[in-house]
Amino acid sequence: MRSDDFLKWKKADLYIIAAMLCFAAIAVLLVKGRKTGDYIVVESTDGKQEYMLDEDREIIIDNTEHGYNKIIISDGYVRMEEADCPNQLCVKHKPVKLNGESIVCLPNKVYVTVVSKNKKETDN
Amino acid sequence: MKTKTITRLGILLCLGLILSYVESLIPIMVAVPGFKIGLSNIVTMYVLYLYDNKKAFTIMVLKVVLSGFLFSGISAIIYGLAGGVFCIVVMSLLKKTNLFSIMTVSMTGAISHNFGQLVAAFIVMRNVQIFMYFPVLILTGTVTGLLIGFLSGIVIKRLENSSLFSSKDV
Ligand SMILES: [Zn+2]
Repeated sequence: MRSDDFLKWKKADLYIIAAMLCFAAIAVLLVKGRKTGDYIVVESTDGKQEYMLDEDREIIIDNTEHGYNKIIISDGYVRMEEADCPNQLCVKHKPVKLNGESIVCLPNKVYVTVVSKNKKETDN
Repeated sequence: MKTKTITRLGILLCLGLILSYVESLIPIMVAVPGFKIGLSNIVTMYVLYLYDNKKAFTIMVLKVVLSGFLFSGISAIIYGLAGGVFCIVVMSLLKKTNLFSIMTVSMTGAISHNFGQLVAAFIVMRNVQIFMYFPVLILTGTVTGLLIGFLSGIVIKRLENSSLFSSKDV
Protein backbone atom coordinates (compact mmCIF):
# COMPACT_ATOMS: atom_id res chain seq x y z
CA MET A 1 0.00 0.00 0.00
CA ARG A 2 1.27 3.47 -0.86
CA SER A 3 1.43 5.55 2.21
CA ASP A 4 2.19 8.94 0.71
CA ASP A 5 -1.32 10.31 1.08
CA PHE A 6 -2.66 8.84 4.31
CA LEU A 7 -1.92 12.06 6.17
CA LYS A 8 -4.09 14.11 3.80
CA TRP A 9 -7.65 14.91 4.81
CA LYS A 10 -10.31 13.45 2.54
CA LYS A 11 -13.98 14.24 2.08
CA ALA A 12 -15.11 11.06 3.82
CA ASP A 13 -13.14 12.08 6.93
CA LEU A 14 -15.26 15.17 7.35
CA TYR A 15 -18.52 13.20 7.18
CA ILE A 16 -17.48 10.61 9.71
CA ILE A 17 -16.05 13.18 12.18
CA ALA A 18 -19.13 15.39 11.86
CA ALA A 19 -21.40 12.37 12.37
CA MET A 20 -19.53 11.34 15.53
CA LEU A 21 -19.61 14.85 17.00
CA CYS A 22 -23.32 15.28 16.24
CA PHE A 23 -24.11 11.91 17.78
CA ALA A 24 -22.11 12.76 20.90
CA ALA A 25 -23.65 16.23 21.19
CA ILE A 26 -27.20 14.88 20.96
CA ALA A 27 -26.44 12.18 23.50
CA VAL A 28 -24.84 14.69 25.90
CA LEU A 29 -27.88 16.99 25.60
CA LEU A 30 -30.23 14.10 26.35
CA VAL A 31 -28.17 13.21 29.40
CA LYS A 32 -28.01 16.83 30.63
CA GLY A 33 -31.77 17.31 30.37
CA ARG A 34 -32.41 14.97 33.25
CA LYS A 35 -33.91 15.95 36.57
CA THR A 36 -32.62 15.35 40.07
CA GLY A 37 -32.91 11.77 41.30
CA ASP A 38 -34.63 10.64 44.49
CA TYR A 39 -32.53 7.74 45.66
CA ILE A 40 -29.41 5.80 44.77
CA VAL A 41 -28.91 2.15 44.03
CA VAL A 42 -25.61 0.71 45.20
CA GLU A 43 -24.67 -2.54 43.54
CA SER A 44 -21.70 -4.55 44.63
CA THR A 45 -20.74 -8.17 44.97
CA ASP A 46 -22.62 -8.06 48.29
CA GLY A 47 -25.87 -7.35 46.45
CA LYS A 48 -28.13 -4.39 45.76
CA GLN A 49 -29.05 -1.67 48.27
CA GLU A 50 -31.12 1.51 47.97
CA TYR A 51 -30.57 4.76 49.88
CA MET A 52 -32.51 8.03 49.79
CA LEU A 53 -30.59 11.01 48.40
CA ASP A 54 -32.17 13.59 50.76
CA GLU A 55 -30.67 12.02 53.84
CA ASP A 56 -26.94 12.46 54.51
CA ARG A 57 -25.12 9.24 55.25
CA GLU A 58 -22.04 7.15 54.77
CA ILE A 59 -22.11 3.77 53.06
CA ILE A 60 -19.16 1.46 53.48
CA ILE A 61 -18.60 -1.56 51.31
CA ASP A 62 -15.86 -3.69 52.74
CA ASN A 63 -15.57 -6.89 50.84
CA THR A 64 -12.42 -8.90 51.39
CA GLU A 65 -12.49 -10.21 47.86
CA HIS A 66 -13.25 -7.02 45.95
CA GLY A 67 -11.97 -4.27 48.18
CA TYR A 68 -13.06 -1.25 50.16
CA ASN A 69 -15.30 1.62 49.05
CA LYS A 70 -16.77 4.48 51.05
CA ILE A 71 -19.73 6.26 49.49
CA ILE A 72 -21.04 9.52 50.95
CA ILE A 73 -24.42 11.15 50.47
CA SER A 74 -24.46 14.80 51.44
CA ASP A 75 -26.52 17.82 50.39
CA GLY A 76 -28.39 15.72 47.84
CA TYR A 77 -25.22 14.64 46.06
CA VAL A 78 -23.53 11.27 46.15
CA ARG A 79 -19.78 10.79 45.82
CA MET A 80 -17.13 8.14 46.27
CA GLU A 81 -15.12 9.31 49.23
CA GLU A 82 -12.57 6.52 49.39
CA ALA A 83 -11.66 3.39 47.51
CA ASP A 84 -8.70 1.05 47.48
CA CYS A 85 -8.90 0.44 43.74
CA PRO A 86 -5.72 1.00 41.73
CA ASN A 87 -6.99 3.63 39.28
CA GLN A 88 -8.99 5.83 41.74
CA LEU A 89 -11.28 6.90 38.91
CA CYS A 90 -14.36 6.59 41.11
CA VAL A 91 -12.85 8.87 43.76
CA LYS A 92 -11.99 11.51 41.14
CA HIS A 93 -15.50 11.35 39.69
CA LYS A 94 -17.50 14.49 40.39
CA PRO A 95 -20.40 14.17 42.85
CA VAL A 96 -23.64 13.26 41.08
CA LYS A 97 -27.35 13.84 41.72
CA LEU A 98 -29.17 13.68 38.37
CA ASN A 99 -31.44 10.81 37.45
CA GLY A 100 -29.39 8.16 35.62
CA GLU A 101 -25.99 9.49 36.60
CA SER A 102 -23.62 7.01 38.11
CA ILE A 103 -20.25 6.47 39.68
CA VAL A 104 -18.52 3.24 38.89
CA CYS A 105 -15.61 1.48 40.51
CA LEU A 106 -14.83 -1.18 37.94
CA PRO A 107 -11.93 -2.85 39.79
CA ASN A 108 -14.00 -3.32 42.97
CA LYS A 109 -17.22 -4.03 41.05
CA VAL A 110 -19.12 -1.27 42.84
CA TYR A 111 -21.81 0.58 40.96
CA VAL A 112 -23.70 3.63 42.26
CA THR A 113 -26.63 4.88 40.20
CA VAL A 114 -28.98 7.78 40.86
CA VAL A 115 -32.61 6.85 40.28
CA SER A 116 -35.80 8.89 40.16
CA LYS A 117 -39.01 7.70 41.85
CA ASN A 118 -40.78 7.78 38.54
CA LYS A 119 -39.90 4.32 37.27
CA LYS A 120 -40.90 5.13 33.72
CA GLU A 121 -38.08 7.61 33.42
CA THR A 122 -35.40 5.32 34.67
CA ASP A 123 -36.36 2.16 32.86
CA ASN A 124 -35.81 3.35 29.33
CA MET B 1 8.05 -14.92 8.55
CA LYS B 2 11.63 -13.88 8.18
CA THR B 3 13.76 -13.60 11.28
CA LYS B 4 14.17 -9.92 10.47
CA THR B 5 10.42 -9.35 10.54
CA ILE B 6 10.05 -11.23 13.83
CA THR B 7 12.83 -9.16 15.36
CA ARG B 8 11.31 -5.91 14.16
CA LEU B 9 7.87 -6.84 15.45
CA GLY B 10 9.49 -7.76 18.77
CA ILE B 11 11.11 -4.34 19.00
CA LEU B 12 7.80 -2.71 18.11
CA LEU B 13 6.05 -4.71 20.82
CA CYS B 14 8.61 -3.49 23.36
CA LEU B 15 8.02 0.07 22.19
CA GLY B 16 4.30 -0.47 22.67
CA LEU B 17 4.90 -1.72 26.21
CA ILE B 18 7.08 1.29 27.01
CA LEU B 19 4.36 3.60 25.71
CA SER B 20 1.75 1.75 27.79
CA TYR B 21 3.98 2.27 30.80
CA VAL B 22 4.48 5.97 30.02
CA GLU B 23 0.74 6.33 29.67
CA SER B 24 0.18 4.65 33.04
CA LEU B 25 2.38 7.37 34.59
CA ILE B 26 0.28 10.22 33.22
CA PRO B 27 -2.31 11.22 35.79
CA ILE B 28 -5.80 10.81 34.38
CA MET B 29 -7.68 14.07 34.35
CA VAL B 30 -11.00 12.77 33.06
CA ALA B 31 -12.92 10.65 35.54
CA VAL B 32 -14.64 8.48 32.98
CA PRO B 33 -14.13 4.73 33.08
CA GLY B 34 -12.37 3.62 29.93
CA PHE B 35 -10.74 6.96 29.16
CA LYS B 36 -7.28 6.56 27.68
CA ILE B 37 -4.94 8.67 25.58
CA GLY B 38 -3.88 5.60 23.64
CA LEU B 39 -0.18 6.43 23.19
CA SER B 40 0.72 2.81 22.54
CA ASN B 41 -1.79 2.76 19.72
CA ILE B 42 0.91 4.49 17.64
CA VAL B 43 2.64 1.11 17.49
CA THR B 44 -0.56 -0.69 16.50
CA MET B 45 -1.16 1.87 13.74
CA TYR B 46 2.40 1.47 12.58
CA VAL B 47 2.05 -2.30 12.24
CA LEU B 48 -1.39 -1.94 10.65
CA TYR B 49 -0.09 0.42 7.98
CA LEU B 50 3.33 -1.08 7.27
CA TYR B 51 2.60 -4.76 7.89
CA ASP B 52 -0.93 -6.20 7.92
CA ASN B 53 -4.13 -6.68 9.93
CA LYS B 54 -3.11 -10.02 11.40
CA LYS B 55 0.21 -8.73 12.69
CA ALA B 56 -1.46 -5.62 14.09
CA PHE B 57 -3.97 -7.85 15.87
CA THR B 58 -1.24 -10.06 17.33
CA ILE B 59 0.80 -7.08 18.52
CA MET B 60 -2.31 -5.58 20.13
CA VAL B 61 -3.16 -8.80 22.02
CA LEU B 62 0.42 -9.30 23.23
CA LYS B 63 0.70 -5.64 24.25
CA VAL B 64 -2.53 -5.72 26.27
CA VAL B 65 -1.73 -9.02 27.98
CA LEU B 66 1.88 -8.17 28.79
CA SER B 67 1.20 -4.60 29.94
CA GLY B 68 -1.68 -5.99 32.01
CA PHE B 69 0.65 -8.38 33.81
CA LEU B 70 3.39 -5.76 34.13
CA PHE B 71 1.53 -2.57 35.06
CA SER B 72 -2.23 -2.59 35.21
CA GLY B 73 -3.76 -5.88 36.37
CA ILE B 74 -6.07 -8.63 35.17
CA SER B 75 -9.25 -6.57 34.84
CA ALA B 76 -7.34 -4.18 32.58
CA ILE B 77 -6.50 -7.14 30.35
CA ILE B 78 -10.17 -8.08 29.95
CA TYR B 79 -11.23 -4.52 29.13
CA GLY B 80 -8.16 -3.90 27.01
CA LEU B 81 -8.74 -7.00 24.91
CA ALA B 82 -12.42 -6.23 24.39
CA GLY B 83 -11.55 -2.69 23.33
CA GLY B 84 -8.60 -3.83 21.24
CA VAL B 85 -10.60 -6.34 19.21
CA PHE B 86 -13.27 -3.74 18.33
CA CYS B 87 -10.54 -1.23 17.57
CA ILE B 88 -8.49 -3.42 15.21
CA VAL B 89 -11.54 -4.79 13.36
CA VAL B 90 -12.96 -1.31 12.71
CA MET B 91 -9.60 0.22 11.79
CA SER B 92 -8.78 -2.63 9.38
CA LEU B 93 -12.13 -2.24 7.64
CA LEU B 94 -11.85 1.54 7.34
CA LYS B 95 -8.27 1.42 6.17
CA LYS B 96 -9.19 -1.14 3.52
CA THR B 97 -11.66 1.26 1.87
CA ASN B 98 -8.84 3.77 1.26
CA LEU B 99 -11.40 6.54 1.72
CA PHE B 100 -10.12 7.86 5.02
CA SER B 101 -7.03 9.57 6.35
CA ILE B 102 -4.97 7.90 9.05
CA MET B 103 -6.40 10.42 11.55
CA THR B 104 -9.95 9.21 10.95
CA VAL B 105 -8.93 5.55 10.97
CA SER B 106 -7.31 6.12 14.36
CA MET B 107 -10.28 8.13 15.62
CA THR B 108 -12.83 5.43 14.77
CA GLY B 109 -10.41 2.96 16.34
CA ALA B 110 -10.35 4.95 19.57
CA ILE B 111 -14.14 5.29 19.64
CA SER B 112 -14.70 1.60 18.94
CA HIS B 113 -12.06 0.76 21.55
CA ASN B 114 -14.12 2.69 24.10
CA PHE B 115 -17.29 1.02 22.90
CA GLY B 116 -15.69 -2.43 23.22
CA GLN B 117 -14.66 -1.64 26.78
CA LEU B 118 -18.19 -0.56 27.65
CA VAL B 119 -19.53 -3.81 26.18
CA ALA B 120 -17.07 -5.77 28.34
CA ALA B 121 -18.02 -3.68 31.38
CA PHE B 122 -21.67 -4.33 30.60
CA ILE B 123 -21.04 -8.08 30.50
CA VAL B 124 -19.12 -7.92 33.80
CA MET B 125 -21.46 -5.52 35.63
CA ARG B 126 -24.75 -6.50 33.96
CA ASN B 127 -25.81 -2.88 34.05
CA VAL B 128 -27.06 -0.93 31.01
CA GLN B 129 -26.30 2.37 32.76
CA ILE B 130 -22.65 1.92 31.86
CA PHE B 131 -23.48 3.05 28.31
CA MET B 132 -24.25 6.51 29.74
CA TYR B 133 -20.54 7.10 29.44
CA PHE B 134 -20.49 6.49 25.70
CA PRO B 135 -21.25 10.09 24.60
CA VAL B 136 -18.37 11.46 26.64
CA LEU B 137 -16.12 8.67 25.42
CA ILE B 138 -17.01 9.51 21.81
CA LEU B 139 -15.84 13.09 22.42
CA THR B 140 -12.62 12.07 24.17
CA GLY B 141 -12.05 9.32 21.59
CA THR B 142 -12.45 11.83 18.76
CA VAL B 143 -9.84 14.17 20.18
CA THR B 144 -7.30 11.58 21.32
CA GLY B 145 -7.89 9.40 18.25
CA LEU B 146 -7.29 12.20 15.74
CA LEU B 147 -4.18 13.29 17.62
CA ILE B 148 -2.72 9.79 17.92
CA GLY B 149 -3.57 9.14 14.26
CA PHE B 150 -1.71 12.27 13.21
CA LEU B 151 1.31 11.32 15.34
CA SER B 152 1.24 7.78 13.94
CA GLY B 153 1.16 9.15 10.39
CA ILE B 154 4.24 11.28 11.04
CA VAL B 155 6.08 8.40 12.71
CA ILE B 156 5.24 6.03 9.85
CA LYS B 157 6.44 8.52 7.23
CA ARG B 158 9.69 9.16 9.06
CA LEU B 159 10.50 5.50 9.72
CA GLU B 160 9.14 3.95 6.55
CA ASN B 161 12.39 4.47 4.69
CA SER B 162 14.83 3.94 7.53
CA SER B 163 16.86 0.76 7.33
CA LEU B 164 16.08 -0.28 10.91
CA PHE B 165 12.31 -0.32 10.72
CA SER B 166 11.46 -0.49 7.03
CA SER B 167 9.11 -3.31 6.19
CA LYS B 168 10.10 -3.27 2.53
CA ASP B 169 12.02 -6.54 2.62
CA VAL B 170 9.47 -8.43 4.70
ZN1 LIG C 1 -12.52 2.76 42.11
